[in-house]
Amino acid sequence: MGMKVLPTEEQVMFRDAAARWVEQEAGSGADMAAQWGQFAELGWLMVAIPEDQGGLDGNVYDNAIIAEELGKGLVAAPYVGVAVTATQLLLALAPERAEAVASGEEIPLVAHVEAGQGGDPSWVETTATQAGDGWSLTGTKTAIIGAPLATSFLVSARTPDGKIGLFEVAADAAKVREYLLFDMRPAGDLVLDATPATLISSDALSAIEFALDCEHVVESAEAVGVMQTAFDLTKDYLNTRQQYGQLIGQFQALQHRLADMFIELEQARSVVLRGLDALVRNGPDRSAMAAACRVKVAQAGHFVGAQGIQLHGGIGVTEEYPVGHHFRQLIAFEMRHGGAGAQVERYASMMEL
Amino acid sequence: MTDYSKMSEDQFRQMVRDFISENLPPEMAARWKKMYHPYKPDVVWWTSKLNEVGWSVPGWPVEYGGPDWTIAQRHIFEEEVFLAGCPALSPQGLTLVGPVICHYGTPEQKDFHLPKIRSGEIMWAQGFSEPNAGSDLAALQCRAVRDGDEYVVNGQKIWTSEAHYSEWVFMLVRTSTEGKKQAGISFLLIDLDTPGITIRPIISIDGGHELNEVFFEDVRVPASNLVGEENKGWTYAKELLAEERTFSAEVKRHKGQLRRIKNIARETKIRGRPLIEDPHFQRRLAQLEIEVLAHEATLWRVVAEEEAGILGAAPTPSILKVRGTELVQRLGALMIEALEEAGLPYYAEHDYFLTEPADPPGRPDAYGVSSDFMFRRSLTIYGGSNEVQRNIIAGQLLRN
Repeated sequence: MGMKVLPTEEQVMFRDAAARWVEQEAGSGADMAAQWGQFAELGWLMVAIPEDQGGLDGNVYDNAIIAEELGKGLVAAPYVGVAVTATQLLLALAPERAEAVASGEEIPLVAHVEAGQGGDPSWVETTATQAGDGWSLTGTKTAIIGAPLATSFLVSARTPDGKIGLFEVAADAAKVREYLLFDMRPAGDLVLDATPATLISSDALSAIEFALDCEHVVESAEAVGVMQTAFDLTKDYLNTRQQYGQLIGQFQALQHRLADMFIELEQARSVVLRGLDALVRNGPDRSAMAAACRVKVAQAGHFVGAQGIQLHGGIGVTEEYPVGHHFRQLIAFEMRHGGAGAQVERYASMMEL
Repeated sequence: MTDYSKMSEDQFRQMVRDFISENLPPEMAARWKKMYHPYKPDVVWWTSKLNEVGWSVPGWPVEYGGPDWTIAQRHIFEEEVFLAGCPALSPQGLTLVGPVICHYGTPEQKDFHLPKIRSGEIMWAQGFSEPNAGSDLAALQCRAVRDGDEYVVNGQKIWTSEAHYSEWVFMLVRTSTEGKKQAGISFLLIDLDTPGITIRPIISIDGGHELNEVFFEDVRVPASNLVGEENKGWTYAKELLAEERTFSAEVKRHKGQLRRIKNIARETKIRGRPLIEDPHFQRRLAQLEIEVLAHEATLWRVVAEEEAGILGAAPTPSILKVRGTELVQRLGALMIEALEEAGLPYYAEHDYFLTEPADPPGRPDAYGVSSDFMFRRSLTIYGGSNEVQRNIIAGQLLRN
């Protein structure tokens, strides 16, 4: 029961600041690059970086608190991808690089996921070959959220000795196939065809696994924020919409659905705290807990988002009304890293039998 | 007295484990792990054993013998004793009426009842539900009419767990029909040996006997057995239930079920291969284990918030009850399925709890599984059905 539950005073301040930012700035029309500058100024990119590397000496809890607020407002800028996944990877393998990320000067994104990976972090088909003093990479990394904003990519690739190395490719030196996800977040594929790359580490798998576990949990926190807004919208709608001469919230069938949505939301919120606890303890159950977190939040999110639409009726499927936007982002979350089904399988492979 | 407040959770857990391994007979643990109904001789013995170290009443105020554990420590204790196969303490006396008497009882009631509850000498039944007052408990009609120094009680109670071997029953009775229905209810203690009381068994679908109907015909009860004030019983009952708001989460049972499912699935061979190695089965088990992890984390959240004095606006007891009870049923379904045909025989409690018949069908690890599965359908019905809990959750959400 030693799990940390209550936020510190500092974390409450971050939460309030992030909530204010989402309310006032997120919809102001500023582009992602401008938003990124604001993230840096607010200190959000450095919360998990140790003090001697120019950071605020916090940890993934602080990231999660900010991510949850950003999720509430469906902020598309890749906060988790940079401030969590890339930052954790650099802290493990090239800590001197963290400061430039914290200041917003560099925006590296992790390019690890490949089609057919099935959520298994060790399945990497991209290859790295030595070319003169440098390296070159071949393969395709996919569904990199926020790719158009990246200044570089941290790319996993299999080296000739069979290990998984980590390399860096500058964004302007590679082909980035940009597209929108169905939730309208900008994303991209990194298409590598003997592309020159700089070696960061020739044996990076355990650092990648740690960074991805952090991503699973903090992205889950973001999804809880997405879900929270979908839930609030639905609850408010039940308290305003009238049919048959009464508020629809007076119908028991809808009340019970709302209760089930709330239970799922709360389970998701709880499992995120448990995932964060596992990351900080970094014990043998870390990856299993991160997978469990992703599974529970993804399934809860699917349910809450879908029922949010259902309880709104027709307006729920319109582009004009936000509940459907939240559903889209929740489904995108569910589909990442092989999908929730693959993550159940991953959990099963790590479960004590 | 031991100062438990200085102990870490690990130290506390270890202390409980040490006590259990020193005191619990292995054959008793083995029979309780089958998950049949409570067996009174074991319950009484274990209660008195715990009472020797002051552990039979974790929820009581210190001045009445409570050990002053934190809520987290109480949960650790519950989990350890359950998973080790300790006899289940009867909650009616120890966790329900006991605290009510501590708070509202007269000095005479306290002196007479509390020591006997703590030691397990007197067992209690709870007389709340009636045939026409289930989810709508405040509609209860069992009457208590004042006559001099006595109340005369007439009516019927139902679903009364353990009444057939209890010595006393605490009752909600109607003492007034004026005003709101909640305002005419009183809290009365009745000796089950009093003339006019008839107890009839209700056999549940597992074939077991835990439930009863209790009939009251001109039962004369000393007025000194009234707890607190007349017509205030509903308030006391509500407080009694609120005290235990985090203890219906059933996490200990989920953990025991997960462990038992895995043990069973290692033994079940499908076409020569252990079921536990089947990927499809593993995924279903993983899914349930993930649900339990999330649910347990919710319990931890609520406990931490309670200990910090934060009682959120959220209807957390109802959430814990709904999800906790539904998970017990889902886990039970996977367990019985994992037994394959060995789950089919009727392993009657009277044949399989203390003994084992000659040449029994099936397998020993199946004993009690179907009984428990059948009886646990009641979880989502009692204590306010899960539909009522959902009404409560939605009601609070939509008001805020």
